[in-house]
Amino acid sequence: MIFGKMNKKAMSTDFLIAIAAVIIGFLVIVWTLKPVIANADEREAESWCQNSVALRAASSINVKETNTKSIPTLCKTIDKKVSGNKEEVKKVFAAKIAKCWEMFGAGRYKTNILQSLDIFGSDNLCFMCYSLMLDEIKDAPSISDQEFHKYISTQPYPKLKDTTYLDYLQYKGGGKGYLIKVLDEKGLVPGRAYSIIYKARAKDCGSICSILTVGGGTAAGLGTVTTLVFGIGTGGVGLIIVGGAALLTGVTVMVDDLFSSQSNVDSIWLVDMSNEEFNKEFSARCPLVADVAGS
Amino acid sequence: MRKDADVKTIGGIVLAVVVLVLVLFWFYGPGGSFNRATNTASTIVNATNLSIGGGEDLGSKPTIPAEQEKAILSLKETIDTIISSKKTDCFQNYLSLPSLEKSGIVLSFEYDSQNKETLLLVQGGIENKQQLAFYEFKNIQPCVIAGEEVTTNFNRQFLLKDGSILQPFAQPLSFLQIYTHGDNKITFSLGSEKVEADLHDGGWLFAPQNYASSTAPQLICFFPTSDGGLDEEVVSGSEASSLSQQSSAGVLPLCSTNAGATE
Repeated sequence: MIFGKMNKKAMSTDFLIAIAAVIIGFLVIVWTLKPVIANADEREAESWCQNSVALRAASSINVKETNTKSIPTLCKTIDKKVSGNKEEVKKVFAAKIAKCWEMFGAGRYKTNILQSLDIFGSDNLCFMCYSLMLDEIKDAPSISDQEFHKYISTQPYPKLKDTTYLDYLQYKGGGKGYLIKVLDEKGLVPGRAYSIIYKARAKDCGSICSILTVGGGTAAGLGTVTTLVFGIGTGGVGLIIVGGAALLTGVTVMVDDLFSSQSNVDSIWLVDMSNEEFNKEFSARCPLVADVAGS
Repeated sequence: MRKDADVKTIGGIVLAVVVLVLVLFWFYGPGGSFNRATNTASTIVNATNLSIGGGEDLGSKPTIPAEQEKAILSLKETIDTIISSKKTDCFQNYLSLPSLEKSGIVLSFEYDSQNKETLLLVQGGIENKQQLAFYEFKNIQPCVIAGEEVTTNFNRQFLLKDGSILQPFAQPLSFLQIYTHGDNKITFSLGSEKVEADLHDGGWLFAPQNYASSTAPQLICFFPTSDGGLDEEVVSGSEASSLSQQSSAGVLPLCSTNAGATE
C-alpha cells in the first residue's frame, strides 16, 4: 500500500517528515547520478526508470485537487537495433511494449506521472521508452500490423501466469490501459525506426478553471481504433486514416480525438517514426518529455 | 601511561554519550525540535487536506455484455458457416446485431493482405479502445454492397434477377468498422471518401465470387443501408424482391441451410 492514498488522519506526520528528508536526499543523489544513468546499459536504465517513477508516485503530495511531484523520473530513451526472424522480432517488440508499461506503473497511478504540478489539469505528455531500429527480418519482407496484433493478443507475457501481452496492458498489470499502433499498411518493415511511447493520462482542468471560467469541453470523438494507418501521398494533417485508402472527411476529428482529447487512462503507442508526417504530428500533439540525458 | 589513556578514553566516551543525550533530548524531548516540526506538519496537514502518494487506479477485465456476446458469436459462426460451405454468390443470416449503444462495442474487420486473412477485433471497455475479443478468418476479405455501380449491378442480378451478370457487384475493403452512434452504423472508405452508413441489414451477409483472381480470398459482404448502400426496404424490408422476402419464399440462394440460414 505504499502508493495508496493515505488517510489524512491516519497519516503519521513522522512519515511526512521522513518523506521530506528522502525527497531532499534523493534530489541530491539524482543530480550526482544523472550522468551515470545516461550511460547505463539497457537493463540498468530500465531499472532506474522504474524505481524513480515508483518513488515519484509514492512521494507525490496532494493538496485538495492538486498533485505535486518533486522526484524527477530517471528515465532515458533506449536505442536498440532489432533483427531476427519474424518470431524473434515480434517477441522483442512485444517485450519492450510490456516493459515500457511496467516502468511507468502499468496504468496504476491515478495522476499524470509525467506532470509535476497539475493545478490546471494535466496535459497530454509522452515519454519515448524505446527507439527500435528494425534492421532485418530474416524470413519475411515485413510483419503486418494484424500479424503483430495476433502475437500480442495470444502470446503469454512471461512474467505473469495466464496472461497475454495485451491482457497485461489492459488490466492484468494492476491498472488499466490500452495499446494504439500507428503503422502504415506494411506494418513492421526493415529499415524503419519505431518508437514505443508511454502516454500519461490527462485530465480536464478542475474546479479552479471553473472558477476562472477558463477551459472548455473535451471533444467527443469516435475513439474506436487500435490502429491508425496513413493515407499515402495525401499529405496534410487531416489525412491520417483508418484502413488502406485515403479519407478526407471526418478523419481529422478522429485523429484529433486520439491525440488531443483528455484521455484519463495511460496508454502505450507503437509508432512508425520513419513516417515524417506522423512524426511531426505526434510531436506536436503529445510533447515528449526529455529523458535523463536531456534528449 | 596506560591508566591515563584508559581514563581519557572513558572520559571521551562519557562525554560523547552526554552530548548525544543532550542532542536527542533537544530533538525529541518535550517541546523539542522534532515535536515542533511534527506539530507544524500536523497543522499543515489539517489545514490543507494534504496527503502523500498519488493513489491507485485499478483495472478490471473488460467484458462483453451477454446479449452482445451472443450476437457477435452468431456473426462469427455465420462467417465460419459460409467459409465451410465453399459456396459463392450466396447469402447467410447472422440474426442481426442488437443495438451496440449501451455497451459502446465496436467491431473492426481488418484485412491482412500479406497473409490473406481478416481479423475481427471486438473493442470496448475503457474509452472503447480495449480489445475484448478477436477472431481470425483465413482467406477471407471483407466487402460491402455500396457505391453506385456496385448497388446497381447487385440489384439487377440478385434482387430483380433480370438475368444480367454485371461486375462488380461487391466492393472489397481492407477495413470496415461497425459501431454505434445512437444506432448501429458501418464505416469504411470508398476510394477517397469515408462513408458512415446505417446498418439496418436484417442480419444478412453476402458471399460473392471473387473475380479478382483464382487465388483471391473469399469475399464476405455487409449491406450498408444508407449513404451509397441499398435501401433498408430492399434488404430487410417487405418488398417482394427483398432478401428477407426471398428467403421467406425459399428462393434466396443460401450458403448453408444448416445454421442461421433464415431469419
